[in-house]
Amino acid sequence: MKDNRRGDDFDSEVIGRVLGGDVNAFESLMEKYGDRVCRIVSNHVPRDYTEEVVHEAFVRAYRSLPGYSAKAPFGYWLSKIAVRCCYDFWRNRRRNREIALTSLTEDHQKWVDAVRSVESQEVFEREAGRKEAGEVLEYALERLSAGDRTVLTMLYLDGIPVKEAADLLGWSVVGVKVRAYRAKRKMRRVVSELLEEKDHEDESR
Amino acid sequence: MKADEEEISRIENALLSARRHRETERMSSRLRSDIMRDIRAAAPRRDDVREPVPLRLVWRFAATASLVAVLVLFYTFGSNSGAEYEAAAFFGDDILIAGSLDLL
Repeated sequence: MKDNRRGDDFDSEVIGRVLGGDVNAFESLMEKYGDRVCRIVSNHVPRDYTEEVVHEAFVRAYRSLPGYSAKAPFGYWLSKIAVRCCYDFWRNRRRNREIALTSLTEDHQKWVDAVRSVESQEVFEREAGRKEAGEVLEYALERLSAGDRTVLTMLYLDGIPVKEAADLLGWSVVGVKVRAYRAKRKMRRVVSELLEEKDHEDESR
Repeated sequence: MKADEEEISRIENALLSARRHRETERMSSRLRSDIMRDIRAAAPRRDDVREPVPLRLVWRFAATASLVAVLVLFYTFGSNSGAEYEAAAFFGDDILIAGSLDLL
């Protein structure tokens, strides 16, 4: 028997069953696309909140299923919902002022110093792989708005093309370009302040 | 002291590379069960499902009813000069209007 589990026909058949009242059929869509949604969400939100946002994305997808027109593949449609959930996650947290801005510890400062003075690519890669690197990245991203953060993550961290990012976010290409430029500049300012702060501390010692 | 552009770029590149070292998460069966539980709870029960009246039919009915009402109104006013008073007495409970109709 031909295995059609990976094709769009399989998705259409399952969606038809779900819309016909067979709710349990939705689980096979989760089996197929669960890892993809987890990957998208874990690129945007902290590890502690990944499950919560993945949960929200699938429930939202289920509720929106009657509106799915099959113009785009189901996986792509689901990715758009996942990206939107990530964006809403940061927007709600900012609106509710739930973001407690972290400060950098001595280990982070040491990491910054190490990267400043790194001379070989090998050492650079090793430094980039340290957990402090991820934490400093999070420190910088926390200081951006939900939109800036989402665009920056998609374009510069995940390497998604502008057109695709615009489509996933439901924004115009020009809007994404402008936002990306602004977000990059803000990020640069955060890094610059980080270095200036460090220099100031060193001078005062 | 103003931070060196080269140093800023180096930190930025390190932060970009940091993302590559991030572990990719996979969906656990526990999470899948949790989501399915919520979806089952959100799903309409089979005996609750009623055929919804198509919105298009509702609008067609509303348009037809309005047109008929306007035609009846014109016909009534055109054929009977006292129709406006009868209509007022029919729809309102103003005693003066009702009384004046009795006098006519």
